[in-house]
Amino acid sequence: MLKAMIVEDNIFFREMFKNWLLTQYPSTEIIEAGSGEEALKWLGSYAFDLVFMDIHLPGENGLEITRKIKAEWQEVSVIILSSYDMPEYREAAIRYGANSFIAKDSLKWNQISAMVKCFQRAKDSIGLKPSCVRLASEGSQ
Amino acid sequence: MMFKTMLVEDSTSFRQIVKINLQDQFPSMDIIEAADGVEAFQKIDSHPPNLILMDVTLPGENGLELTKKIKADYPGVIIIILTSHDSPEYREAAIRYKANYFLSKGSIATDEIFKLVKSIILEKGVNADGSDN
Repeated sequence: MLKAMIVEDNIFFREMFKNWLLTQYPSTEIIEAGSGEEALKWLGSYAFDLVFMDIHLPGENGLEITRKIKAEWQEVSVIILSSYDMPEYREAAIRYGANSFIAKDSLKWNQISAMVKCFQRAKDSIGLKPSCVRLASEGSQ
Repeated sequence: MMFKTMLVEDSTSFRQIVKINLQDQFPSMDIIEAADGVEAFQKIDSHPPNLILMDVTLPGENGLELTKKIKADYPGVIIIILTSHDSPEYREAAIRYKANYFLSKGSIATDEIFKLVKSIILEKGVNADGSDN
């Protein structure tokens, strides 16, 4: 079963996102975290495949949290979903090891959907993950 | 009469995810989208909605100003202000401009929104899924 986490302090967006993911992929397990601190706690207890990460969060920002996640759990794919599409953010996302950076404004839900589907398949066949993420990055361009 | 809802929100991704969620909850609801006040007014004039979910921060006129204008022309339409910035000034303006509800995106749970929308639909005498009686 694919295990994903949505790290986002805006409850409305987080829940809408989760509801939608569950309608598309009812067998996916989705955990919600309202801050980076909460996200790290979850990661300490469970193995996640995929993390959707907002940048503006209470406490440490999503880029810092991504750096921490990648230092400890390299196998977890982190997709940054940012409200602000700034070169500094994109560069930091790459530097800190995020697998993809998607600006919320150019986000296409069907591409997220295709990506999640890809990750779900990759659970059974090792080596598919990089192409799953490329799919998401292309979708945001 | 099919229940018609308009989403006035400049973020495409946010607008779409709200639309997908609402459609899932209320399959027969007719959902119209507008990215700013100009588009909203064009669509309201041709197809007045029953309910508007209104963002505050928009390009051009903000959602509070728009609410004032819409309520002047269409007093019967229910307007829910949905904002990321919950400030007393916004709340006061929302009341002054006759918005029906003021909700903060940061703290409102989606099932509360669905319940609210459902109650508005039922008040209008339409079936709960948004279809005709």
